[in-house]
Amino acid sequence: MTLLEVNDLSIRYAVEDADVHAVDNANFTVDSGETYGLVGESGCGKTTLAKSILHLLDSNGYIESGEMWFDGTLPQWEDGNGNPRKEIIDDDRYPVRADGMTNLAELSDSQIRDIRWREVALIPQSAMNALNPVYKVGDQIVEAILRHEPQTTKREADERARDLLERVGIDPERADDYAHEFSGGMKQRAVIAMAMACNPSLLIADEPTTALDVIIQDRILEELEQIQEEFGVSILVISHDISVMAEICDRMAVMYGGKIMERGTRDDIFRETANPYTLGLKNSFPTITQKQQQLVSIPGSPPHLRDPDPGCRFRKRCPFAVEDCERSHPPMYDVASVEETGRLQEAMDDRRHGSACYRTDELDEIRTKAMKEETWKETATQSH
Amino acid sequence: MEGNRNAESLVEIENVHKWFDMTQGVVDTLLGRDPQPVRAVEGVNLSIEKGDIVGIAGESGCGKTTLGKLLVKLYEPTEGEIRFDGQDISDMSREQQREFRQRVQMIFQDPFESLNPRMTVFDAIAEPLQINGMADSYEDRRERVKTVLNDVGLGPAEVYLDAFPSELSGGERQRVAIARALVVDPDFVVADEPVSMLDVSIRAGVLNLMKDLQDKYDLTYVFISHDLSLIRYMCDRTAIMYLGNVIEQGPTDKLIEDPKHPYTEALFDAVPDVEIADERRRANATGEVPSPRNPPSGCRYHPRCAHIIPPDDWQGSRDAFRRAYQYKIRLREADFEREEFDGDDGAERMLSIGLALDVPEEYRHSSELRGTGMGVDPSELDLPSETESSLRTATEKYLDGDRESAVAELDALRTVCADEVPQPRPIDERQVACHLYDDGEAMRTPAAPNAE
Repeated sequence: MTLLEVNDLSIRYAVEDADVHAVDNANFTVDSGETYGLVGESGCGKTTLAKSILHLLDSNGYIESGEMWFDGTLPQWEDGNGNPRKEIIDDDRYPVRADGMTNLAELSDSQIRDIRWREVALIPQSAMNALNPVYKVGDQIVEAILRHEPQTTKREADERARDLLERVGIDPERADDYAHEFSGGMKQRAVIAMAMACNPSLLIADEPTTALDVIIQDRILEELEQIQEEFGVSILVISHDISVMAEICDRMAVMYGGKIMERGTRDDIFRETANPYTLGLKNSFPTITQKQQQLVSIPGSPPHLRDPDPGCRFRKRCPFAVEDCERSHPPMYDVASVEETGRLQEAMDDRRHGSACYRTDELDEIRTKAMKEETWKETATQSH
Repeated sequence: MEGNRNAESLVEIENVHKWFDMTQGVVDTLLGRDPQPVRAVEGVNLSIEKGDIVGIAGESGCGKTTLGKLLVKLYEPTEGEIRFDGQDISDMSREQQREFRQRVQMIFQDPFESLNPRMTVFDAIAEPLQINGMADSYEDRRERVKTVLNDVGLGPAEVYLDAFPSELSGGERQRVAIARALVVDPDFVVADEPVSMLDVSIRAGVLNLMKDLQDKYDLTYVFISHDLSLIRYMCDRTAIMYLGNVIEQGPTDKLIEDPKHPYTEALFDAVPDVEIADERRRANATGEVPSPRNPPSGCRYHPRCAHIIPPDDWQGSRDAFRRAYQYKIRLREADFEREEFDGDDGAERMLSIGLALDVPEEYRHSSELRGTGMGVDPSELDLPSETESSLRTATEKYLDGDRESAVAELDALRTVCADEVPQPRPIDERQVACHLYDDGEAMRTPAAPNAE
């Protein structure tokens, strides 16, 4: 079942005289109970995209166009069963469509506050510093519960806070401690507990393990898996670390220069890799289990996104670029049907394996060449 | 260590210590407290052979960066000796020091910080030449800088010579930093996390460059990193550090494929991998790295260790000993708040929670997995009955407020791991500092409680 459906989302940052196209025409769908990953290098737009869902962009950032349909709505629009009331759906002034989904992009700042925590919670990038140093950790969770569920009593909230801490493996008695009395891993767990305080249906985890040492990272990844199993919450993970992604994501989107270059299941991305950028990324990533083959880097560096030209964002670094790539950024093609029919066919369904590349119909050749080191050494502007 | 040394070794590190913050604050002096220095590096022995790439790996705070800085003489050891090409680097004449500073170079982690923003690429790279008096004329320097720029993949050099760091990308900056280290034609380069600030797609280029330059410049590297996949890619030999000690060192492939020290094992188990395996084994370690101001006695790793060694006469399982011993540590450190455990079942609750282990699910005891909260049923653990009863007595004493006799009650729970510092021993082409190998190749019983 669809939990979040992002359609043609574009986000800009206004900088001096030009706009930075941080996210451009992104389309993807997150289902209930799954872990969806946004993976890419710094500046690819993954964090911007995730923050925009909760309207947490920096002040110069804005949603240029697009929709974010979410299965959940404001409390004042709900009927007794938690679904939006019929008159809300029928009234065009409300951003709620017939199937009960609400367009988060159109909510006002005060309305989105009723979505945060209650429906969508965020584990911020530097979760280690996300706890307030002058409040007890337990009280911070209590505060979140009371703010978003005002009908709860203080006592109930306190019990829930302790229960949440215990579920993420922290001794409930530590609720009375301050953040500085927690170790790094415990802070991270406490932040996860806090995010789960109001039982949201979507958890956004922005680089949840980046600042952590590897043994603690291992435990936090386990924790996220367990939270998901127990609460059935969907998790949207943002990370640059493709090995972490390979481990925890059911499906993912690979981003580059503000565009989604490839999306699909974990197996699609790692075993049936179709996009030249993803192929290059895989080549450059060391693995621990295999005796290493040669790592190959992608030549050049990521594009700046100020008023980008219309061509494919990756073409300047891509060894497979052709003339078409100059004209416009490729649409998302359906990899499986292209492979079946040999003809380029645009992806109609967000859930299917898609790749934004004009040469998706020459996949076999591209995959073979991408394995070779010399392919990536040719100047990228060369076309054949 | 003796067997490891031969004529080829370029750097020899012998029993090196580095303690920081040895002075005492006013408050401490008034209260008569002893100073508690940070023991960043303690008793490290390592020899680095010519032409090797030696990795130093470990979690943050393990002392790897401090060791790197000791090697290039940015720090002086508190104790011990570092010899470079046979010469003690703490005891060099001016002339020897000048030569040392030319032959030994360092590449830092962050190319956004390590380059002077107001110097052009040419100025930055030519500066070490001038300092070392290596190229007299401007023309010579310019030629030398051009050659090095081409060598580090920044060609044609003319494009970069007059650029400022702000005009360069991260990968280009790190290449300039490498050029700056190599321009004086060194023999030994210490690289501290050289690619951790770079994007994934650019990293491989810098790593490969470092490998290529090793042949070209005839270099010996020390490569410091927390990223074990990078260590595997780069290094011939690796030393794993934990709280200032090198706990295992040897050929990188050996260490990864068959780790001997329990910490090495946990460290490599914890690394996720791009290759999708069905199920990865998780790291069997409890807790986090303790403070280097007050490190644990004996083996620094013993409070977290999955293979902690019970006394010879121990009748129960190793897993049960690990739990009971950790319980003793927690009593000693007053880790339980007495108010939380009042009431009739207080002692029983405390024991049940205290004997639980904070490990990944696959290593938990079946009675831990059954319960909803945290806690384990002591009677289901393979504990000798007298231990179980002294655990109960200790718990009651603790709750009565008599922590000292509670700990004394558990005096029989002793381990060699806490009593003696393990000495590095040669096992299977490497050195391992762990009591499991005191008698040569040890029998290692896996501590998997669910297998019972």
